[in-house]
Amino acid sequence: MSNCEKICRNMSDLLDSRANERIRKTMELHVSQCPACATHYEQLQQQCRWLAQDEVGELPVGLHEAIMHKIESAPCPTRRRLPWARPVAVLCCCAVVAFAAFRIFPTFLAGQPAMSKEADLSVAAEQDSGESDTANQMLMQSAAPEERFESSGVTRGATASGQADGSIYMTSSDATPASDQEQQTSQQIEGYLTQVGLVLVVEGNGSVTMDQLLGSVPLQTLEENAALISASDAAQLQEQFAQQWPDLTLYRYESDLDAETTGVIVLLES
Amino acid sequence: MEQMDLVRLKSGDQQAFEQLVRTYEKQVYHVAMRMLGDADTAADATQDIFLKIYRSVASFKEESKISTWIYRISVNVCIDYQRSRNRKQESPLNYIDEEGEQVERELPDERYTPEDQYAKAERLAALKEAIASLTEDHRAVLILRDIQGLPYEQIAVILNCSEGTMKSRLNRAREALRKKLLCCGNLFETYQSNQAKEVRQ
Repeated sequence: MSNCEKICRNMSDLLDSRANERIRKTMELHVSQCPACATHYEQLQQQCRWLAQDEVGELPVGLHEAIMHKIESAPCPTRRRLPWARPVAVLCCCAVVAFAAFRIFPTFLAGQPAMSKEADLSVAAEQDSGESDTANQMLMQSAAPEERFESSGVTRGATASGQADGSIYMTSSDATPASDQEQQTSQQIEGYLTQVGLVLVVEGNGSVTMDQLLGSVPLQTLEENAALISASDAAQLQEQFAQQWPDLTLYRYESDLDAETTGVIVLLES
Repeated sequence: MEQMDLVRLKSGDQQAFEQLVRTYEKQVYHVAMRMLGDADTAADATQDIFLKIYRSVASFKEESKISTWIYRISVNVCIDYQRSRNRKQESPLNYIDEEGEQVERELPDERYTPEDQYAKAERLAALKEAIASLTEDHRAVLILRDIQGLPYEQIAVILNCSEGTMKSRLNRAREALRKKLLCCGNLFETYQSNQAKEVRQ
């Protein structure tokens, strides 16, 4: 880099008197000996003077009143101080954490010996449904629709259900181990639930296609048997599912992610 | 104004806020005017800036001077305005053509003859056009330093960058403006010849 370039890059230091004594003297010496830098410096000095003189003038007439009118018509912005709000909020948080902990680790909290993860999950399912026989639920295993009707919010045919905390109860303590395909499906659903708030699973038995289910082209095909579905389409499908496909079963899984925009629909062939 | 009773402001006291408006409205309007280059838009932006200040003053953490905070809001709102408004703008030259007389009336400079006044108005027009054609970053730093005359430290806080970054940005902005002014018919030469004429007289 030439001296001229260095000087030009630091011209602001000279203009604003921010260079230290030694640098300032060096720069001034260079400027006094180099006509190009001298012109450059003089132009910048002049430009700064023009800008400093560049006044806008008085405020437009009525601007102050317009500002104050806008302020007066705006709601008071100060936050209301509620002395009891913080303790109540803390108590609510504690209650939520305790509730969640109880649901996730009921055996631990109850002081029972540690169990395997699978057993834990099955017990959790048991706790969740409140009925011991539902602990044997397998993913995609049909159960009485009314068992899960309320919690899942599915109009009909809902059997297994995802939980609000995002966990799914997919294993059983005494039933035969889940098949490879079931495990694969479980993983697929778990994966989707980490990305969307809602997963609908249709046990199709080969009698229905994705296009038929959605009534149109899917929002976006994710895998051979899965597609993105809008929240409105999901709601519509649930409403009409029982009437249109009385022999099929619809499962609804939810995570704590936002379910208001999109979800995923999975069509199982068997 | 730095000693302004922030407690009153934060409690929503409208009288205190009106005092704040009176103190800063001119500076805020000037920043808006220079950032946006159009009087009507600048007036609208000024109203929005004060509304934003009013709404958020309760959350002002006093980590900086209130003037720094106000400048920061002003620059950000102006950048938002600049981005959102229609790109089809009036030519700053047309704006000056319409407002040229107003400039002469508000800034009478008795040292100059009517010819000089015309030259000054022309120069101001070119200056405004050149400023308007700078990037947002360059325009903001130039307005805050060379028009508003704020110190480097305060500008760095307003622009949310380090002082070193601000300094190199200012250098580049000044250089960009100089080049644009040279392109606008080399006003420096005109100025220098006028100066020489004055000296001769």
